[in-house]
Order: sequence, then structure tokens, then C-alpha cells
Amino acid sequence: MSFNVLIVDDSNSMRSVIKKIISLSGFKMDQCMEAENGREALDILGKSWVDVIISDINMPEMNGFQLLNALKDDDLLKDIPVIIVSTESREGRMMEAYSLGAKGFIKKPFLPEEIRKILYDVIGVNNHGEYGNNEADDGDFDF
Amino acid sequence: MESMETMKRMMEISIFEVFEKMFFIFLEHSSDGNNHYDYEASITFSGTVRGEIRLFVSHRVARAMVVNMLGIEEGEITEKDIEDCSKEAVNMICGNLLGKLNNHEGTFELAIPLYHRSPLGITTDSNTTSHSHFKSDDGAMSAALRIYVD
Repeated sequence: MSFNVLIVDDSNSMRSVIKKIISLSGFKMDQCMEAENGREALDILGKSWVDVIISDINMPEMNGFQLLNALKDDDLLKDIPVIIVSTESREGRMMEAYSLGAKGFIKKPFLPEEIRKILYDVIGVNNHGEYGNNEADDGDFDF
Repeated sequence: MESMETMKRMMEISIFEVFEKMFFIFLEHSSDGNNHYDYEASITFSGTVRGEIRLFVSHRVARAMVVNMLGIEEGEITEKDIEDCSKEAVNMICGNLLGKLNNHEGTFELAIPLYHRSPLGITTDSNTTSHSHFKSDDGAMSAALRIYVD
């Protein structure tokens, strides 16, 4: 089983890094879609099936919190797990993200292992793409 | 409010962390503040304290940041890559610094980072602005933390 991932970040570099980390992690990714802000993300979500969203907070036009709010209000989209990846690691910001429905939070700068582990944890599968065991291995992987 | 010296030290810790983790560039303090810089990225923040962080990098450091972060070849680097990496760096440094300050200073908002070629520099009023200079195998970089005084 493989998954469609949507990465939402206004930084092309950060989208590339996250995409590369996911690809190299062994996570079974089918399509990787990219959006520069929440508005673009909603456009993509209106047209494509997405299994998990990885989103920044601080973005122009529609930020990560506004995206979480929009997802929460949409019956078709509200169950898609969202992982926030942000420089804004203060406890209040993390609590706000979780209260709006985020399922995970990663602080930038991050280690590749953190992205992989939280992806497996949030989507509820193990390294072999099987449901029911959401424990990711802690082993390293090479770039 | 934390003293300017304390905030400067916190910013420097954030810079070391971001450059090591995201760009695999290992910085050392430098006393040389007269280097030429080709690019600047800046970000403002507001809350109980308002201010900005400016990051100044040489062409060599900027290229090393792109190559190390994106894993691309030297020949593939575009100006947009340099802009993106510089903005992301200052964004992460500021977020990291404000996370450290948060326990003492309440909550903050970050603006969208800005990028400039051929930086013009920054005011040198030592009461409100603090400079930190660094060197690495890939060249020099500098950062300025400025607190706005109403």
C-alpha cells in the first residue's frame, strides 16, 4: 500500500528537502503533491486524493492555521491527517495547532528521522506499509 | 525583557543549530566584521518585544547552503534556490530564537522573510542592534539582531 502526500510550504527548498527525506526514508509514497500556501493546498485537495498533509504555518495568502480551520469545516477533508512542520515551536503555537486538528508537529530545523517517524505514527502504518503497528524503526537511512 | 547580550547569545546558539542541522555548515565565531556579503535575508517579529533579524552571507556560503540542503550540483544552482535557502535560514533562526525567548517574553508573531541582493547593511546603534560574525570552511557570514524601540 502506498500513500499520496501533500507538502504545503512557501519555500521551494523546504518542499524539496521534505520530499527527498520522505523518498529516501522508505515511506511508501505514491504521489507527492506540492502547494505554496493553504489556498493552493485546498485547490489540490478539491481535485486529488491525499492521504497525509505536511504543512508549514508561516505562509502568505493562507497560513497553516487557516488551512487547518478550513479542513476542519469540510466534511470530506476533515479526516486527512495534518503534520505541521514549523520554526514556530513555542508551546502555545503547538497547542493551537493540535486544537485545530493537527496530528503531529515537527520543529524546524529537524532531523530526517523525525519526519519519517511522525509520518508512520500519524498514518498508523509500519515500515512495510501494514496497518496496526505504528512503531517506526529508529534505524538510520542514507542520503 | 532579556538583555541585548543575552538575546545575542541566544541568537548565536540558534544560528549554530540551524546551520549544522539544515545546511551541514559548521560555523565558528569570528572577530572580522569587514567581510563582503552578497546576499541578505531578513525577518521581523512582533510581540512583547519587536525587532528583526538580518542574515548576511557571501556567495560561497550561499552556494554551500543550497548544495548541502538540496543535495544538488553546483552547476544546477539558481538565484531562486539561494533566495529560498537564505529566507528559510533566517526564518528558522528567528523561530528558534523566539522559542527560547518564549518562556520569558510571552508570544510572538513572525512576518514573511524577505530577501535582498547586495545588502545595504544595518544601523550600528549598539543599544538596539547586536552583530555576530562567523567563519566556516565555506566562507564568512554575519547576523544582526535589532530591537525596535518605540
